[in-house]
Amino acid sequence: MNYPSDAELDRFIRTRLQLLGIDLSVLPEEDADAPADQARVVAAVRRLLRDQMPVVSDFPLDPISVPPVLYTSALSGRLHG
Amino acid sequence: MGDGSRQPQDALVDRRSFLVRMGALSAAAAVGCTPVGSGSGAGPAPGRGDVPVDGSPADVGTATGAGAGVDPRAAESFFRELPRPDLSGAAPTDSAEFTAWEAGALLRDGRLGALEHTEAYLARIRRWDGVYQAFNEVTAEAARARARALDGGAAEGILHGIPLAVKDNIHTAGVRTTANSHIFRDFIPDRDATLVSALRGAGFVMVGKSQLGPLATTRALTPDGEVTTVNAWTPGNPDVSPGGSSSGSATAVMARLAASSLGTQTGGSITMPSRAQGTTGLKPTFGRVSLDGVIPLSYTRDHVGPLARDVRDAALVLQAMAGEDHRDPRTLGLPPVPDYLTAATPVEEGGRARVRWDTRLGIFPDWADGGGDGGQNRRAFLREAESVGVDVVEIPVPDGWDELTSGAFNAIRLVERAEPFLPYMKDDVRLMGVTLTSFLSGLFVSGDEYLKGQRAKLALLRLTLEGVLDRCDVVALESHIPFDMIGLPLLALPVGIREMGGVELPDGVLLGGAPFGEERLLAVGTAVQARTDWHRRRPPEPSPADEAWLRRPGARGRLDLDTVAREAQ
Repeated sequence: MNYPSDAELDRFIRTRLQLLGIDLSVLPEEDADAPADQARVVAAVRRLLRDQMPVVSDFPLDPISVPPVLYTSALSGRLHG
Repeated sequence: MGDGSRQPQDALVDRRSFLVRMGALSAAAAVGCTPVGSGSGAGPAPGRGDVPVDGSPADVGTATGAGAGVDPRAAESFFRELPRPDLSGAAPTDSAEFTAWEAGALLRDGRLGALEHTEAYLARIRRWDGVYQAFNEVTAEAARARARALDGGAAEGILHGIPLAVKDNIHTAGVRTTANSHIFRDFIPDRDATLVSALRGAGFVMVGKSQLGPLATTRALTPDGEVTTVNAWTPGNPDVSPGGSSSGSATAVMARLAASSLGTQTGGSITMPSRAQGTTGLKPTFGRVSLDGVIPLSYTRDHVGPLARDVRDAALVLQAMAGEDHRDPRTLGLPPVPDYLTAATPVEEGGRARVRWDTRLGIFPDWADGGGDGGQNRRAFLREAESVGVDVVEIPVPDGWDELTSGAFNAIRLVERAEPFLPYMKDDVRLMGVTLTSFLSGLFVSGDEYLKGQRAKLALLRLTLEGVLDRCDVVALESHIPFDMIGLPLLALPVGIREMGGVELPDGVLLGGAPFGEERLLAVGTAVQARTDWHRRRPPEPSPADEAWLRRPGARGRLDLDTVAREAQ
């Protein structure tokens, strides 16, 4: 299986944003002086998808002994009597 | 050795039960999210009397409710026994130089008035905040009115007449709460955050809203990226970060514009500015302080804590605001709030400061081996810790620790900022300004990846409890990220000065504790501070050249989108 190209990832990113109703076109296409521009935002998301999320997906965790925990500290409420 | 009459709370938490119970409480914990911005619903703020009270174990029991952990007798004893500042000098002493506990003692003695003390801070704010830009809004008139009212009554609350800065992402009734963002530019809450109500009950005076990175994500900038707050040690050099995102909170304390301040931490935002500027910063265990009325950045990682002059001041602020809050279910069912004031009071043995409880301080290999000022400062800290009776032990890095605390797993938190801010991004992505990337990125973490991240937190907690905190009570950390992820307490302590690029800046160490281990951290910190003067060092006032430089348009510079994303908290 070929890994998606930058262009394919960019299309995915823009399509996902369109599905959510987010209009990226209000930003300049490329302008380093602007607070945000389309090119830098899309590139950053591309890095997240390509470099970081696979690390999470591929990390081995036993599904039985390691359930999800949102609030870890809430579980420490029991004190010795 | 130590305080044999009572154990600190971390010794009472059943760590095995902690782990066994993990599986039962995962999915159900997702209730009770704080609405963004509109969270200031009608109705009275919870006070000490209207919070449900459950049974508290007798051995550690205190009342519940935010701020209700204050035992009046302990507070009275705390202030009675404090040494008083020497006021016998020929020149009048600027009361803004006092720590909160020193001023608190004088206020109780009637030797200092709340209005007099507040005016001392307001004068400094008026003189210097044009340089520091530590505040987003100064509430001078309200502070004076409050101080006058306090002067008319007895000094009962533990923060009676103490001027504090409140980070501008914490709701304050009738005072703009902007989170330094386009989104909340004109937002005025109709009631206080629960923690602010608790602080009012303790008698504090709010002098203003401290500046922060936009939406609490980075060092203090305008929403579009222009630098605002400067590091109090280098006001003429805006390139030196004040630490973020509680930048203004740290600068206000170090520049003597507030006695202490409130910060929030999702990814180092209390401890990083504390280390950058030499304040004592405490991030309590997750859930210890209510997040009601705090603009969320991450539902599972947001914390509120003090940035203070020293450990005792940090304990005062935490004591006043910690506790249960029926408006925030994440605070419910936790161990009762213990007596932080006693924990932060140094004990002596044979005329020398000693740590209150037998304590092992764990260090990972190489933690103290570095060269330069940084390594020397860490070794000096360890020597001082040993001199107060702390047992320093080297511990190995558990297998899997580096992977579970990596940037990839840290990125999982971005989902939790994307979700509440999605309506704003749909309205206009420009509302996010220079912080857009981290908010938008959270929309690209899939459900299975987010779930894996929540499972990884349990794995990391197990590693921490069974591979680190089973060998020590307190651990010296390189990074805040691991304990931010799993909600364990952190204490940043100043440990001297280091030179960076020809500039002298404060240096700080970061200590992590067990669940609800705040007392232990305070006890270690206060014993070390009783023997050292690192926490008393303060920067000189800005020079005329600094002021002139900063008046030039654009002199403070700006951060771009990619830098903000890289440094996002």
